[in-house]
Amino acid sequence: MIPIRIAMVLLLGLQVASAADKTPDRKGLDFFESKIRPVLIRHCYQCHSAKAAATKMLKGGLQLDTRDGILKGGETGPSIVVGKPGQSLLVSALKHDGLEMPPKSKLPASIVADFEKWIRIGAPDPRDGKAVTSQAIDLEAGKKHWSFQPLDNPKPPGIADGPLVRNDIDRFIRRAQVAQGITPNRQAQPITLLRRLHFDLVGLPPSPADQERFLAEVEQDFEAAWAGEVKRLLASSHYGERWGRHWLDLVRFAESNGYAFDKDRANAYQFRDFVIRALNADMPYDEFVRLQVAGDLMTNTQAKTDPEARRALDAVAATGFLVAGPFTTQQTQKERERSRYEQLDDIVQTLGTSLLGLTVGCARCHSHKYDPLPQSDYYRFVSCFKEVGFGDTGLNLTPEAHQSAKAKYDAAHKPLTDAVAKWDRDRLPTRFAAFLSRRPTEPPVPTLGHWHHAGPFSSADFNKAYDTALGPETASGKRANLGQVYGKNGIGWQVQPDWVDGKVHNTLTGDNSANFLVRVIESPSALPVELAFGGDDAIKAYLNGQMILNKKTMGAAKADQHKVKVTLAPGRNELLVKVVNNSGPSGFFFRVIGGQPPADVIAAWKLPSDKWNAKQKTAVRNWYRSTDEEWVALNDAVIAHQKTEPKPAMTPVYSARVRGTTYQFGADTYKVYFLARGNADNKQGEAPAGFLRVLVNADAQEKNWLAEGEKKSPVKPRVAAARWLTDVKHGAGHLLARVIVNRIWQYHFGRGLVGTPSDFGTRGDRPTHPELLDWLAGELIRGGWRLKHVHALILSSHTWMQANGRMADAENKDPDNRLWWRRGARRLEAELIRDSLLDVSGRLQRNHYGKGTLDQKSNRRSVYLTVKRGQLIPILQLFDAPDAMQGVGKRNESTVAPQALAMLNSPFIRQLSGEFAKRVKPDGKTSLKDAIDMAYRLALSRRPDSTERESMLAFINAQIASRKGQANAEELAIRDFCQLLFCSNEFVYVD
Amino acid sequence: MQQIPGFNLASRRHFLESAGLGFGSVALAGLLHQEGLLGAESGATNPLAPTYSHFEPRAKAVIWLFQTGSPSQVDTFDYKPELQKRNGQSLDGADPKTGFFTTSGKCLKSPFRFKQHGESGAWISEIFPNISRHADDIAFIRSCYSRSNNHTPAMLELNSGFIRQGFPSLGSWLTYGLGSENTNLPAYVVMHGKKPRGGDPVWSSGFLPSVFQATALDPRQAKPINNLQRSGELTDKQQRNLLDVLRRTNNKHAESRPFDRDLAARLESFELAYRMQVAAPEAFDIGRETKATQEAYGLNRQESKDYGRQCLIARRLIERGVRFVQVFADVAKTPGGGVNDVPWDAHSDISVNHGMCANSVDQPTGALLDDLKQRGLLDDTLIIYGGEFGRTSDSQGSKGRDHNPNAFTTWMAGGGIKGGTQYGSTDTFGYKSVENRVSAHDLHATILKLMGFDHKKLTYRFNGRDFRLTDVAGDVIDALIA
Repeated sequence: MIPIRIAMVLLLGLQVASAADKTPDRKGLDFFESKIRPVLIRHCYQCHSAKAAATKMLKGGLQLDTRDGILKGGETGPSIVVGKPGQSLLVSALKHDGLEMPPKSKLPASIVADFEKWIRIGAPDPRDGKAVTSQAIDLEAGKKHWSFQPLDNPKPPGIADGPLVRNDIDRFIRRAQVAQGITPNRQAQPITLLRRLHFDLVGLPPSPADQERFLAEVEQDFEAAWAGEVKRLLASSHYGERWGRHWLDLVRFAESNGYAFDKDRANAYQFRDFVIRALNADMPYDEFVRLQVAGDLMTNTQAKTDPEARRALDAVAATGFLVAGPFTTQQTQKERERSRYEQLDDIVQTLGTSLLGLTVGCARCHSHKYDPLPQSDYYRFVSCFKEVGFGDTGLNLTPEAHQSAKAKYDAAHKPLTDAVAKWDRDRLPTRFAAFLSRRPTEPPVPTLGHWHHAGPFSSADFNKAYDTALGPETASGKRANLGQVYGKNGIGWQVQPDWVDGKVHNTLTGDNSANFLVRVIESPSALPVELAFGGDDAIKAYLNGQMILNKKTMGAAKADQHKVKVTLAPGRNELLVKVVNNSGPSGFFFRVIGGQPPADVIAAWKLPSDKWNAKQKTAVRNWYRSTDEEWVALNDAVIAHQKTEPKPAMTPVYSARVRGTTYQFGADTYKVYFLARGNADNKQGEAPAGFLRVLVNADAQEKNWLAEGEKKSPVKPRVAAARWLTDVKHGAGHLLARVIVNRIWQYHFGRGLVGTPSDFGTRGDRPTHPELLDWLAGELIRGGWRLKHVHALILSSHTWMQANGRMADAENKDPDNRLWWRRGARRLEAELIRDSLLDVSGRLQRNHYGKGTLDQKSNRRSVYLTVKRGQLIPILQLFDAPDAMQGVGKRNESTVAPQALAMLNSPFIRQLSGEFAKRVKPDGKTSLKDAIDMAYRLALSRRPDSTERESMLAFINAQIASRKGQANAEELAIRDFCQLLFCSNEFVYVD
Repeated sequence: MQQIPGFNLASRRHFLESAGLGFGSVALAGLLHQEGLLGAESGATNPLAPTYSHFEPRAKAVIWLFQTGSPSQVDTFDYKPELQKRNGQSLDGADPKTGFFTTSGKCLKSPFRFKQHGESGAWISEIFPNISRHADDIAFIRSCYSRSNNHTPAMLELNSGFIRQGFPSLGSWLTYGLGSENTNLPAYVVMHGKKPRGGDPVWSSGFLPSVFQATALDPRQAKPINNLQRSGELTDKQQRNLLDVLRRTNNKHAESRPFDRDLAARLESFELAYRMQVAAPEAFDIGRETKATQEAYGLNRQESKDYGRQCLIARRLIERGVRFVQVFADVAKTPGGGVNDVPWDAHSDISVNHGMCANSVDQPTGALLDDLKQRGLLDDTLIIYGGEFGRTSDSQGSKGRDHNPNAFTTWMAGGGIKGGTQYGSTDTFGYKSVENRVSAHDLHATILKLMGFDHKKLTYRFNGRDFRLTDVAGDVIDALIA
């Protein structure tokens, strides 16, 4: 229905001027974006947009969410006249001049002025005429970009092996060098290669023993020695620690939420351990990726065997990838939906940059400016992750041990239940018959005496009052003597006939105090009953000296707060209750539930037993049985043993969880909509799951991943996304392979074949050696996606093994070393600097896995230091460790004075220098010369030459001389020397 | 990315990556310059030489006095007579969920009296007798708004333009763009008492190289900067000897590796570190100021001594060439709803909280303006004063105000600012900014302009995208610029 008033006014609209057809300038568009669009979204779209039309809310046939819509106007004509605000209906409406829009309240004059200005300057408006889901990008053209093309299958150039060519990698590299007339360096010295290799693969210097062994092997056969060393280190469990850290950079790994309260994720270390474990095991990279995207949906978390459980741990922990991003726990209602989209953006953005080298996040507010990523693809891809929340998943990692314990328990339990069954068979009929013969006229019920009260017993604090045995609790068997007076305050027992049952009594007093209540319960026979208690703020109860209740609730006493099933003994029972109060008034609640037999038993009771039907007879017999001391004893044994039933040991693993923790804002929490301009206030319909179509082969269709089998049964979108990502033939697998082999190259050489490792889009660098890149990607896939295969190829290439010397021709022709004619000295990453300091000073503990610590002085490798976003490890930060907010594909590398200040003055470094010194000169017997030699071998993996040795000897002697008269002059001087080695460039730069 | 002549960020970035020299903002090296302890560094190894700007800069340095926790606009600089009249009546259009809690929807008048000051006639609350003296130096922006009603994201927005963590702060962007005034100058110092809500990420360098990160410190500490003190096991002479041998060793190592420029940079960084040990502490030593100066800054008063120290050190740093100093107001007592990490957060009692906070910050702020002016530094130093959002015009409880992202006042003075400007306005009740609304992006664009930059051209490529401080928005407010 159209309000007539609007229709009337819109009739006045005039022809659209041509000004709007011109390409508007940037400034005008900015004005639209900052002043006009927000107002339209906020105040107009509800009734005047495609969405309003879709939900039959459209008013006046007017759509203001497209340029065409504004120009065309409503059913009665255009809403603006470009260049002429005075003649534009929209302006009159905003001024409430004839037409009143928005209807509820007039917008401020400044906004109206903005609209007038906007119309005057030609109504610049970048919005195209179609809905947000439309595709303005030519995907077929976009697919021609090199990285979206299928893998080429290049043959290595036909260049023979020789001193500069050791394998196929070198053939590709050498061809380009030959073309430029460049000769690379010769192979580096074996000892240089050994240090390079150790830092590259395991991130620790080779020990003096490693050096001796390797050099001895080299004497025999260099090739065998080298191959052996590469193999040995690839198999080392420290390999995963070194290379896992690279992966942790990429996925913004952290163990806390970030933001103001920075809550810890105590079990997020499981992801770090998964990464290290998977790399050590050389898990195929495609599987590694699939698990991180959808492992929780691809595994059985109720594993029956230990190997299956370990696979489940990998699969669940791997999804820590998705949920490693920051999360703020303090959110106002208004922020939640926006924050949820931020969180989903963090997931796909990280996924895009780390796995595919694509800036997917750039398509959030508009289709990607440079890459063929339409905005609709963004939201459809995000939709694959719409149910992702986070939390701890409990996994039993030793199901076999549990099963055997459970079998043992079951075996022990059976005789007990058998005994009850035997009693039922053998004894119950006669016992029941005997009971019936002497059945009293009324069913037996317990008789409750009055409460007696003693207290308050005050304590130093609440916990003391709760934990310490006070007053009657101190008596043996916890029996109260009602005549006793306690303590120097003379607290005695007072009878409380008014304290009736079934009512909360807020009559107790005393801060940090305990009050005791006692009553006697007479039972005509053994009698199963349920007792209900309440207590402010905590309560303990003992029946006949046995503790039956022990609960802290903190807060007011409530009816039936705690319920306990007990069996009263025949005759006298004594109930002792302790109510502990923190502050203010205190109270308690008590009643007996089921003190009477069940209703059907009471009904039957009124009849003579020979009139009972079978059902009544069974009811009375079952009730009777529960009061028979013999049965109670047997049954108690069953119950007592049940308490020893083994429970599976559950290990909490921080992971993605379907509909797990996230920002909650009602029905839309786990849904994803297309959002115009990325604004959650402007939804354009729910987004179905889908992928980036530029990475879907022409002959493939998205639904191929979303369904499987003959019956085309649906696949969960996240699992489908994992398959699409790793599908080389039809999906994104070829790009996935290119990106990871480039990263491996970069971590080995300092720069990738593509210089922008996380941007393989049109704005990223082109590969320097495209054929080599594709060949390596192909090798990865052909080798079963095993990364160690690629490492081995690189590490046996001349390109990697060459020295770092001057080559006059090459320096002129290729100063930037794009053609890899030399090897640069590379600074160790922050973690490696710290690990080397610990290792060289003899403190490094080499144990793997498990929870980390925030203590930077810990003796464990740096990869095990906890990554707490609000409390990053200072020494790692100093040397450019990432801040874990966004994925990092290439660390910044800074050289700043605070690093030097830390190496010179930090007490930690000085202390390590001291331990290093003790290691090289443990006693008076070791000569200074030997100490210097050992220090060089430990810190720099080589022996000093004679000049160095002399120079250091002179230094130490000078430092000793300057401390004349000091008893520990020599010790301190060696410490100075050791610190000097720590400060030296050779210590932190590896050739 | 558009390039202008002489401004080549790409090559500069490359230079930083390949030759990052040891000095940088973190280094605080510039502190030494005034002392004549540092010689001129050779241009070849200085990646931050300040030769790049898009416009003639109007200011050389910035002091940002951040009023953490968010002062109320209607009790400080945004006088609303109608609110005074309608105390207790319903506030038109009130949204009780504007802030963090729920508000009453009833107007709460300001407990403070307002007066006009200076020739400009700016209305200022009685709680700022000293700031009022400078009314004609100040440009008031009364129409600010932020995108979050929550401290941490709003603080991130004011500092980095984004409500998410992980983006570089204004100080880091300026350091990246400007470098230091000379090779020895550090760029970016943050002072705080208890760290403000949100902590270190508020002044993060994000994805910019860490050379551009802030040196954050608590000036109440005896040793506010780590590792400046030599180990007790070494005398100066012994350390010097160590450094001499280190230099020879490193030189020899570098000789055979001519391509690796980092090696030379690292060698120099040790020399710089050595000199900083002496000079950096001096810059923080307010004991070198006269008693009169100390008292002018309120160092003799319990209420103002912490914030006063921050302001006085800020002046000493600026004098020594520091580019960007950010002070997170350290307020002695924060009753009425505030807590140490968000002192102005007057949820329960505006009168008590703002009275106390103003008592802490007014005198030192006024003194800083006096002092800079007297030393001829104000013309080159941009002062920024404000919080992360405003407060509601309706009451929370009976006497407090909740967060209000829709309206707050920020003021600027000094370098390039047209004093006496009254820019933008809120509605009749000071509840929402309506005229000439100003976002954090607009503030940033304006500050960058004053420092000589076109905010659209100051970009950094990270993970494939050219990022800006102002994201995809921001308008320079020309009306503020003299």
